[in-house]
Order: sequence, then structure tokens, then C-alpha cells
Amino acid sequence: MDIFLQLLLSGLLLGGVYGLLSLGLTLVFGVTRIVNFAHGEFVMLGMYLTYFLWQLGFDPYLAAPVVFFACFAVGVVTQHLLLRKTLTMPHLVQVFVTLGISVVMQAGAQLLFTSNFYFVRPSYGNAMVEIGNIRLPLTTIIAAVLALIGTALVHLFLKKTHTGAAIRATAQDPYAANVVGIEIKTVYAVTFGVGIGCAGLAGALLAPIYPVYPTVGLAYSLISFVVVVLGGLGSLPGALIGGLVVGLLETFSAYYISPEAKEATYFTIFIIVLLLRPAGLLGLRGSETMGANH
Amino acid sequence: MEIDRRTLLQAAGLTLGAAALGAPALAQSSREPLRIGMLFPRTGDLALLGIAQANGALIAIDMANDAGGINGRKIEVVNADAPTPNAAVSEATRLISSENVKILVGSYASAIASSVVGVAERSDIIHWEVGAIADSLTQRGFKNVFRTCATAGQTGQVGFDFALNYLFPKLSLTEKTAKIALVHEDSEFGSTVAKSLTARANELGLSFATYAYAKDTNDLSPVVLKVRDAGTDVLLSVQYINDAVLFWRQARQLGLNVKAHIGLGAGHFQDSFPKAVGADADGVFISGPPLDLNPAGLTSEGAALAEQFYSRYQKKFGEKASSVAMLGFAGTIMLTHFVLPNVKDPDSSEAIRAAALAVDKPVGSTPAGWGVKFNPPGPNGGQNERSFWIIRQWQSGVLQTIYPEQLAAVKPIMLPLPEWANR
Amino acid sequence: MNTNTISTRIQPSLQAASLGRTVTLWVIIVGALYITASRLTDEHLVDLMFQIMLAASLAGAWNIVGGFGGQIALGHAAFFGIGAYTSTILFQHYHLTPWIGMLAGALFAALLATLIGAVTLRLRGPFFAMTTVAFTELVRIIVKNWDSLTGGTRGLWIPWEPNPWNFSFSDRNSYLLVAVTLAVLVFSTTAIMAKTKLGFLLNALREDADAARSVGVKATRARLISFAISAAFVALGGTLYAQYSLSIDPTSVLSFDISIQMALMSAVGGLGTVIGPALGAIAAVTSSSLLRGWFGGELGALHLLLYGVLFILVMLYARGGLLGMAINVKKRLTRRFGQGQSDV
Repeated sequence: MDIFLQLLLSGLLLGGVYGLLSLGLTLVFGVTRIVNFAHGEFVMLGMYLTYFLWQLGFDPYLAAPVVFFACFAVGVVTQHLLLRKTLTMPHLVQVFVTLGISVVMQAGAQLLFTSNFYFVRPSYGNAMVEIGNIRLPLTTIIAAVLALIGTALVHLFLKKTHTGAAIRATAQDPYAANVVGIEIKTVYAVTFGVGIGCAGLAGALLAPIYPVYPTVGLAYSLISFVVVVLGGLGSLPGALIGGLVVGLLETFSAYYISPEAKEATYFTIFIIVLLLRPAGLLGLRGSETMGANH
Repeated sequence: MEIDRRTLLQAAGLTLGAAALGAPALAQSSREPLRIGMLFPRTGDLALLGIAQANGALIAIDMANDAGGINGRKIEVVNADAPTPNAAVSEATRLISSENVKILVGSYASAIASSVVGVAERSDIIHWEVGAIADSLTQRGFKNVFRTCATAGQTGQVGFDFALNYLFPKLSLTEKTAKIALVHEDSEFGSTVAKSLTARANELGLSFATYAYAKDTNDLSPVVLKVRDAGTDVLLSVQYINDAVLFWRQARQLGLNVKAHIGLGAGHFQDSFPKAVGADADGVFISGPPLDLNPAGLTSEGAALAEQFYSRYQKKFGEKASSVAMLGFAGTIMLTHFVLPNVKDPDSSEAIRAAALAVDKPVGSTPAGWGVKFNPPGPNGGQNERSFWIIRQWQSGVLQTIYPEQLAAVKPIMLPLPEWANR
Repeated sequence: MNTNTISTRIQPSLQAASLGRTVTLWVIIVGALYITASRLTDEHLVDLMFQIMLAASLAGAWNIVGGFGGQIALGHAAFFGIGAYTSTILFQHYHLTPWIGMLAGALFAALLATLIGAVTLRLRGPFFAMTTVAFTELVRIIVKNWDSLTGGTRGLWIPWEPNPWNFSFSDRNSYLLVAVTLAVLVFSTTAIMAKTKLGFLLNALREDADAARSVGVKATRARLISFAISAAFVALGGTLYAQYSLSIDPTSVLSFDISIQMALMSAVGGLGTVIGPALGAIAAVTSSSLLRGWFGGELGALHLLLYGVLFILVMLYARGGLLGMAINVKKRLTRRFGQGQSDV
């Protein structure tokens, strides 16, 4: 029983981390209909920033807000310089531009930081929370809890603020939004900024748990894809639920089947979901066949 | 630069032509430098250790040149970068055909080596492997491949021998009751070790369990829990740095207490390991390339070479030589010190091959503690049968040699490993 | 301007050029390639040309789906790996010559592609892209874990016992001749396709999928056929790579990177054009080889960085790629000096 509970909680925590990883990806898609293939690289950027701030003496969790805003700025600039032009272009261009960004960021990281592994090691890095025989690492708990809070905050931001309302309006119908005087360009820039900020934040919270190196992003991109497709591309709660499902699947299949089986498990589920219900668990039905420019 | 090379090539061509005509070209050719290609991954994911190994190899070349070269011929190194198997094929071809090198020295990584040996075999050029450990490399029946270091299969064997012969008595464990587990990533390295150890454990009738996982995993807690709940006494692992750190952190977090842990992979012997887990690294044993051996265990020749290596490396690169650099040096010094001086015509791969196969040096002759004796063509041909891995232990953030005992510098600590609650 | 890709701009000029002239030009290029391939003696250049021909074949094959069809396929590494593994496994287990194994691999890849194409018919753009990525991952995971057949992560080696019947040669030029043949096959197919109904259907699908879909069965069939052809060619390339490099493993033939490279080269050269992908391959292979040679690898990542930047710029400002730029320059010159005719 202990084992089951331990696996359940570990899986939920891992799922929370995955949800956090995927938040930015799903937000950007929901509004701009761009699937950001450089998502994992922005997480990597967040991790590097956190590492260097930690080297300067910042606690990683104090660094996290700084990283969020830095990545927000990077996101706005990237959107303005590169992605703004692609909004009216075919999907192919959007996908390829983000792929190009990921290639450039990976190569850049390798030139600047070499292929060394960097580790962020705060003093409480090994701290545990013990409930009976169940032991959970503090850093992972923080990441998972902040994933919940982050999702809630972004949700509130969309529901309660003026900008949020504009974003939602644009997501639903960019043309109508334009007609009623919403500056769509600004909306897209802000959305992309928030999305990349979330990716960076995820990086900051992952940094005390995982090492950072130039090619770390690819794995994070792949997991985020699985998570958001499962939860429904564009749905915020979907990302969280998708993350939890993947986390639990991974943990349980690794223990009860074999640690090697977990990858196969979630990619199979990914393909099945894409084929049977491409909109995901919580996604809008039909979004997968949406035309080019919506 | 380009023109220089071309004239050089032409000159080399003329010399060869003269030799073919039966002219007494020896005096002239002795002034021609001997060109050796150094093919290592210098960019990409493998670059960090690839460059270290190339640097080690370079020291061996420096030493040969400072001593006047090989029978009066200086060695000229041509460097190349092989970050991926595909690039390795192109670069090896370039070195052989455009740069006119006669010997390739490489290549740190097995994936790189396995594509280079194909090129070398086709062009009938010697490939001198100093660092790639995949067993398959010398099992393909290629006559031009020589490997100076030990193999992946051997790393598992030494770990086992060490556990059974050395640790068991000290930990009061017996072969009948002790539970041994192997945790490994499932790349070529990990699965090779797992295969050879499982076979060996079955022979000996040990209680031995293996747990495999993909190396870019984000969570190893299921594996840690399984090993913990199996009541494992001695843990062996094959891990890269990423998963080694994750595993050992989660081992602490989930209270996986073993009596000893021997890291057989590339992860545990890197400085990044104690950097990432701090004092938790202490007490962990590693199996890996030899470094910092007790000179008493070496021949006087081997000890002298070792001393030169450490001081030259420190001077040239401003840091202490790592074990990966030692692999590069020990392998290359075999070529420049024991093989090439006996080769009449270093432009002929046949002559180099014959000279290499004729070398017979006892264990302890090289700075890595190894001897030199290459298997004749046939099964595992070209493999140095007198190379082996050694066991070292992290002690206060520094690796110390423990086993084999004649090469040991210090005594082991933390036997058995204290429980996490008491650390 | 935005939704028109380069092919629609090139198409008329192609049609304008007399068929005879195009064929003559084609024959001259092919002849020159074969002569160079058999005469070249510098092994390094032979290798370089081999890499270019292989890369061009892959990019050209990808272009059939990605360029002409406008489908963002990012899983062609799967077909590359399937080609490499099928021929190698058939040779090792049944002593079937890789020449036949190569065809078996191509057939297998084509069947799989048809299957994937059929089940992903409803998926558009990024969804299709992600499915293809996931499919490749699945293939990689299966290959990695099916140890008894594929050698797992250790991979498989191909013995080197020169025997033309077994697709094993003592000289590199023979491999190069095979690579040239593959490239000629790929590009002839695309050239013919561009001029026939299949090409127009694909074009229609890309420009307006909904309208094309309402045409019905034909469009669906065009999509499946193009996917199958593309996969088959990539699989042939996989066998060629295996025979040339003598060893394969999941990382060398099934990584995501390979899928990306095909798309990148095709796009930089000119999406949906006949010879664009070849230009992209020439640019990619020579520049990476030169940079590696010049800097001895000191700045290896610089090559990727520059390439990524170029890729983004091409996507944003010159979707015709290198070929499109060349044509624009020529057009401008022609307009200014009022002479010469434009044909590709």
C-alpha cells in the first residue's frame, strides 16, 4: 500500500511538473494557433538564466520571477521580430520558423556555454517531506504547487483583466476582435510573451531538480507535445490534467511494467489520442482541422 | 596554408615515387614528417571529454617529437572534428585522402569509432583506438583496427570481481545470500555491460537483478523503489552524468540504503558528479580508466612515462590530467613509444600492423598500468589483451585508487555506506 | 503573395520553356554527374559528392510531401531508419542481397506511409507534424527494444566484403554512382510529378485544402500516393547510407535531427520546386564540411547557428529559397537589360 501511495504521489508531482512545462505551449497555441517547436529551448533558456543568477548568489526561487520577466521580454521581442509576420502565412512557415529558432538557440547555447552540464544546488536541494513512510522531495513539491498556482494565475489573468478579455476575444475570433478595436498585434505579442515567460518560469523551477545543457530542450518539447495534445491543445486546465495523466502513466508503468516501457506507453497513447480525439480531453472539438489562418 | 599542404603532398608523392624506383630514399624520407590524424569529437554533446582525450594524446606526440621524433622523423598532427558518426566518415576520408595521414588516432566515443573503422578498413589505413570501449569494435574482423584500452564488457567484469573478491569479505557478505542489483541506462554501453554481467552471475549462481531505463528520463523513483524494496546489498550501475545524479539524489530522497555502490558508467567518474551531489558522492566506487596509480605497481619505464605525462599535461593545459586524458595518452604512447620506433616503413600499414602485433610488454609498462599485447587477427583481433579498468573511490570529493591492490594508493572509506539518515 | 508559394510563380516559366529544351538540359546535367562521379579520384571529394547526392535525394523526397503537398512531415527519419534496418536485417538473417532488401525496405516504408497518411487524413498542419514526430519516436523505441532483431541500441554492422552483388564495393566511386542514380530518380520523379495531374492535385491541396477536399477521392489518393513515394525514396536512401557507413544504430538513422535536416535543406533550397532541395543540400553539406575543415571544429556550432538564421530568414522573406532568389535576380536582370529568356 505504501508503495502504491508513494507512486501515486510521485506520479502526481511529476505530472504537476509536466503541466508546468506545458502551460506556455498551450497558451500560445490557444490564442495564436502557433505550435511553438522551440518551446523546450525557451525552458532551457530559463534554466540557464536561473543557473547564472544562482551563481551570482540568488536563490533559484527568488530568481524565478526575474527569469519570468526576462523570458517575457524575450518572448515579446521574438514575436515582434519573427512571428508577427507569420500570422497570415501557412502553418508550414510558422512551424518552420519556430524550428529555426530552436536550432539557433541550441547552437547558441553550445557556443556560449559549451556542452557542459550545469547543476543548481541550493542548500535545501535534498530536503524531504515525510508523511509516514512516504517521502517526497521539497523541490518537486514546490514545482508542482507552483504549476497549480501558475495555471490559476494565468486563468485569472485571462478572466479578470482587460488584457485577458482582449486575449480571449482574439482567441475566439481575431477578425471580430479587430473590428471592436482590439489591437490584435499587441494581444499576440503579450500572449507570446506570457507563454515564453511561463516556459522560462518552468525552467527556473526545474533547475534545482534537473541539470541544464544545450540539448535539454528537445526532450521537454516532446513531453509538452504529448501533454498538451492529451489535455487538449489550447486548454489551460487541459495542460494540467494532461500533465497529471502522463506523470501517473510514467510512474506506474515504470514500476509495474518496466522502466523502459514508459516511453512507449505515452507515445502510443499520444498517437491514439491524436487519431481518435485529436482535440484532446478538454480541447475544442474540431480545432485540429482548423484552417490555415485562424 | 592550402598551398603549403599541396607542395607537401607533392613532395611526399615524389618521395614515394623515388622509393618505388628503388632509389635510396631513406635519408630523404627521414626528414619528411610522419602525418598522424587525430579524430575526436571537438564539438557537440561529446566535445567535453573528446577534447580532453585528444589533449592527452597530444602529450604523447609532444614527447616523441621532443625526443627527436620517430627514427628521426618528426610527427605532424592533423586535427579533425568528429561530432557525429556521419561527420566522422567525412572527416576520416578527408584526413586519409586530402591530408595524406597514415594513421588515425581517435576517437573517444564508440558511435564515432564504429563509423571511422569502416573508412580505415576501406582505405587500408591503421585506426588506433584509444578511448572507445564498445566491445563490437574489435569483433568485426577488421585487420586495421587496434584498440589500446579495455572494453565495456570488462568494466562490468572488474566491478563484479571487485565486489566478490574485495567487498564481500569486508562487508561479511556471502555469494549465497548477498543481493546484487544492476541499474543501467539502455544505450549500447549499458546494455552491453548488463548482458555480460547477467551471463557471469548465472555462471556463479548469484542473486542478481537488472533494471534498465532510458537515459533522458525525468524520474527514476520507480527504479529506486524497486531496488530498495528488493533489499539490495551491493548496487552496480551504468549511468551517464544526468541520470547518475538524478538516481543518487532520489536514492537519498527515497531512502535507498545499500552497503556499497559501484558506478561502472561514464557518469560517476566525472567531476560533475560530486559537483552535483556534493558530499553524497563520497564512498561511491567507480570502475574506469586508470589514473593516479601507485608507482610501485608500475615498471620503471611505466612510472617514468607517467610522471612525464602528469607534469607535461599540467604545464600545457593548466589543469590536472583526467582519466579520460590518460586514456588518450596511454593509448598514443603505445603507438609512439612501443610500436612506431620498430617500424621500418611507417608509410605502410602492413609494416605498422606487423610491428604492433610483435610488441609484448608486461602489465605495468604503460602509465595506465597496462601491458601491451595485441590479439592476432581473428576473434577480437587488434584488442590489447593487457588492458583493464581499475576501481577508484570518491573520498572528500577526490577519486582515489583502491583496486587492484598492487596499484592502490589509499584504503577505502565508508564500508559499508552509512544509512542516509546518518549522513 | 503570402499564400502563393514559389512553385506557382515558377510553373508558368517551366511551361513556357519548350519540353525539348528542358529534357536536353536534364540529360546534360545527368550525364555530367555520372562522368564526374566515375572520374573523380580524390577520395575526399568523392565522399563529399556522395554526401551531397544522398542529402539531395532525401531533401528531394521530403519535398514531395512537404513542398508540393504542403504537409509538415517531421518524421521522415522513420522511413530512413526503416530502409536501413530492413535491408540490413534481411541480409544478416536471410542472406538476401541488399539490392533486393533495399526494394523491400522501400515497399515497407511506402506501406507504412500509406497507413499513416490514411489515419491522419483529418489532421492539419501542426497536428499532422506532431503525429509524424511521435510516429518516429515509436519506431525508434521499437527498434531500440527489439534487441534480437535489431541489435537494440548497439545497432547492426554491415560486413565489408567487396562484392557488387551484395552492394559492397572496394571503391567509393561505385557508391557515389548509386547515390547519383538515386538522386536522378528522385528528381526525375519530382520533375514529372510537377507536370502531371498528381502535382496539380497536390498543389491544389496545399493552396486550399478544403476546396481540394471537396473534389474528394482524387485529392485523398494524391496525398497518399505522394506520401508513399516520398517514404519509399527516403528508405532507399537509408539502405544506401547503411551500406556506405557499414554500421547503423537508432541514433545514427532514427533521430529527430534527420527529419529536421531534410525539411531544412528542402526549404532553404526552395520548397515545392524541382531542383530547390538539391541546391539546399549542396549548400548545407559543403558549408558544414568547409567550416569543419577550416575551424577544425572549434566553432562547429557556429555552422548550425548560421544555418538556423538563414533558415528563418528564408522562411520569412524569401520562401522561394535559394532557387527563388536566383530566379528573382535573373528576372530583374532580364527586365533591366531586356534580353534573354527565363527558363529554369
